[in-house]
Parts: sequence; C-alpha cells; structure tokens
Amino acid sequence: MKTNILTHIAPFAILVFVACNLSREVDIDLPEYDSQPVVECYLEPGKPFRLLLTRSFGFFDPFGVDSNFFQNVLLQDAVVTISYNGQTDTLYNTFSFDASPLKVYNYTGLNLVPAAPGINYNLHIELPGNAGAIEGQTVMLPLVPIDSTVVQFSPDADTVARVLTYVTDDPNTENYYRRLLNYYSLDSVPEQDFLTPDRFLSTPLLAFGTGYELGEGDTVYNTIFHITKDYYDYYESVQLAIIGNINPFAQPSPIKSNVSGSGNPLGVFTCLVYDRDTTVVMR
Amino acid sequence: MNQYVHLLASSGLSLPTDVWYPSTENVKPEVSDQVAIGTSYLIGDNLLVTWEGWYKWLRNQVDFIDGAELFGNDELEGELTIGKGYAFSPLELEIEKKEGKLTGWIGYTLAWARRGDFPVINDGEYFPPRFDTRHNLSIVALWELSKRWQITATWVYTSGYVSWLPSGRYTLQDVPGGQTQPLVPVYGDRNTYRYPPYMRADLGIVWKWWGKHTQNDLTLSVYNVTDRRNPYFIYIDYDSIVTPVGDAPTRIFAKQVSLFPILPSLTWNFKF
Repeated sequence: MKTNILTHIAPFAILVFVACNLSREVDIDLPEYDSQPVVECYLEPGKPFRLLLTRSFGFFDPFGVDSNFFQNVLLQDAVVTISYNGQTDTLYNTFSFDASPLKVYNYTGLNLVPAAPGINYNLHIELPGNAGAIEGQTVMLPLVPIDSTVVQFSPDADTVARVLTYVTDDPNTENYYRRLLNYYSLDSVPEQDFLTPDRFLSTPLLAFGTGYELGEGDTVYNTIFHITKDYYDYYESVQLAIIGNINPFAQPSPIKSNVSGSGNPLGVFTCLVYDRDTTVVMR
Repeated sequence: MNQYVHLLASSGLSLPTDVWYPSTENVKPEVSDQVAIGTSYLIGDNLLVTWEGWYKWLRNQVDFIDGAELFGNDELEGELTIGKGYAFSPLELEIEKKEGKLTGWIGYTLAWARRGDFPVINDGEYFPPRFDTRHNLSIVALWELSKRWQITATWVYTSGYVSWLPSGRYTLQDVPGGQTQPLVPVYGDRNTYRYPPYMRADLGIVWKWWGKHTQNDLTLSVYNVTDRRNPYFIYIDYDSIVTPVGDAPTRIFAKQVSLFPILPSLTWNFKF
C-alpha cells in the first residue's frame, strides 16, 4: 500500500521539482546603439582647465576590465577649446589626475580657471575622424559660503553627535544647490548626496544636518555646491536614470545633457563653485 | 465613453507597477470615441464567423513623466502629464462551432495602440503604451467523448507588452567627493522594447458521474501544460569586482522571473 502511494505521488513531486527555478538569465535584443561621446568638464576656480572625454557603450556590451580599458573608454585625439573673456584656451590631449580624491582627465589646459563670478565659458570640441562637434556653455556663479557648522551631541546619549550646516540663500535669485557629505575622507562614498532648489525655502536660511551618528574624533567633509539649473537638471536626470533602472517604483528618465552638437554628445559642462568645511567632531 | 479612474503603468523594466488614480480637477476623465464595423456569417448549421474592425480616438490620456516617483508620493499628481492617443484594429475575427461532439472557438485580434502629444514625453512624439499587444490569439476546444468523459483544451498567444529599456550606458566620474557611477543608463525613446510573447496551453479531463441525489464531476486539469516560462518581469543584474574606488561591474545581464510554471490541479464539483 505504502509503495503504491509513493508511486502515485512521485510523478507529481518530480513535476513540482521541475517546475521550480522560475528565475533565469535571458538574452535581450536591444535596438542598435551608436556610441556617443561623453563630456565631463567641471571648471574649478584656481585649478587648471580640465576635461574628461569618454565613450558610451551599448547597455549589454562587455566592460573590458583589462589592460585595454582606458584605451577603449577614453576618447582621444579630439581638439578641445574653451573660450572666455575674449580669449580661447586649448586643452591638450594629456593624461592628468588628482590623487585625492582620485579623479582623472585626458584633456588639460595650461591656464588656471579664473575665480571671478559672472564669466561665461564656451566649450568647443572637434571630435576625431570627422565624427562631429560638441558645444557647451556655462557661467561661473557666485560662491554661496557656508555660514557656520555646529556640532551637537545628543541629549539622550552624549557619545554621539550630529553636524548642522547653515547657508544663506539669496531670495532674489533662483538658486540650486548640491550637498555632499563625506565621512573620514573625500574618497569615501558620500553619506549624503542630493540636489535642492531654493524654491521650497520660506526663509533665506538653508540648513543641512546629519543624524546622531558621529563619534568624537570623526571627520566630516561638508561641501555645498552652488550650481546652475542645467547642471541641476543633468545630475537629477542621472540619478533618476540610475534609480529607474533598478527600482520598480520609479519611472526611468533620459539624460538631460547640457552639451550638444553634431557629435550627439552626452554629459555636462559646468563650473564648480563650492564651499567646503572640514569638521572634526569634538566637545 | 468616459473613464473616471485611470490605470497608470510604469514603463520601467523591473517589476510591473500599476497605480489607480482618480479623476481630479487637474486630471480630467479620459474620453474615447469609437467607430466600429462588423459582420457575422453562419457557415452550414453551426459554424459562425464574426469579423469586426474599429478605430478609437483617445483624449486626456494620463501618463507618468520621466523620472516620476511612484511610491509613497503624496504629490503623485505632480508626476503626471496629459496627452492623446489612438487605437485601431482592422481585424477582430472569431470562428465558433456551437454544436456537435467537438465545440469551441478560435479568436484572433490584430491591433495597434499609440499615445503622444505629451508635452514632456518623447518631445511630443507618439509611442506605444505598455499594453500595446499586436497579436492576440486564443483557441478553445471542448470534446465530449461520451456522457461521462470530456476533454478541454485552451491555447493562448499574446504578443509581449512593451517596456522602456536603456539602449546604452556610460561611466560618470563625478565631482571631487562624489561617487563614481560605473553604470549610468542611457534611455532613448520611450517603450521601444517588446517582451517575449506570452503563450500558454491548458488541458483538462472531466469525468462525470451521478449518484442518487447528486451530480458530480472530477476535473484533472493542467495549467501551462508545456511549462512555458512566460516572463512576468525582467530585471538587470551584474557581476562585479572590488576595486580601490568601489565595486566595478564586469558584466551586465538580464534575468527573467516567471510567475506560473506547469500547475496540475484536481477539482471535484458536486450538486445535491
């Protein structure tokens, strides 16, 4: 009897077993994608004119993390110029980098970016192989300084503290900010990285804070960027594209580049105006 | 025809997420106007052939803007935009056999749907909405072997629905202090990827018997008898290696999740 029951159950058990494993890797045929040049150019007052020009790839293309990685990713032999104040600077196809935080560039100029606000900059890139041109415009905004940074220890547990940062916004102009908060080093993954326009403010005072998560001796790097609207739109679209790709509760978004031209580029050309405060948490 | 509650479907590739949203002062009821023409023809005594064609104009179509946040958003209305649309089918065909030992029907629909004129989507260009399924075929058969025994069979085929996939990617180095993003998706026109088609075959055997005061039937049915793994949703995953600047992806791939494999069932119905 027992054997007969098992004989009748076994086929169903096998069926259930085979029917499991409902997740599997699949091939997806995407429309053909033509690689686009990608511009990342952040003009920092007092630093050389520098630019990173790379390529985009088909979404499922292999990453090629090998000795040819830089050769495949970097777009070399372009002619890059930036015009401002009636002069035109050439950025030469040379490799340079900042050690900390580590950032690399494949086009560098000889002059330093002026620190004066209000200067308009125009970018022009001639791509190699008659692949077209790239244009971009930006302006150096005035610095919005950090008024003060306050360390407050928790009233409930006095071993943990938070850091409050205050900035005064100009209510007469439309302003956009990016806030970066790094703990321990600027190479660390930011604890906070978000954009904010000033249209939600009811007073000129803008306050940023952390939770009660810092201990005595911790170092906090607090950076407030005063950014242009087109950079705000660009970076917001990048964040939304990344989130939309993985989050079922978010709609994807195309990238809103502020560079254009016959080269069909992606990317951003902007000035980096920021104030950075380094705070060591102490009583 | 007016519709006062709107089904909003996200276009993303991952888990299908739909929101039902009511009409408000800013989100007007959706309106459609349709013209249709059709004909029926009886072949012999029990073979009925029906054909219909139709065209529909759609107004006040509601969709999510690019980058909309769907979850836990009190201001969801701010994530919506209004446009137009149209849909048509030159061929809705049904052939039905009503009598005899073998009965059933075959139904086929060929249709298109488009939406557009949204101020902030696709530069106002028209695109297929998520439920634009080109072909829809269903075959249902019922075979009476005897008074006690019956076999049923169903086969359905539907073109896959559309979704919005990135076509490219690039690496964002970002500003000093910012995190390098090795994988920034580049999205092109909306809803250009079509899922694989949905296909399913079901079989059933019915055994009937009568008691003194009861009527019984025992049905052994197998849902999805070919165990086809129709995609419920597709998500992106990647292999990576650890580098001094964080995880670096080495390979991106897509994974499909299916909902229902082969599902046998046994049902006893009785009346007394």
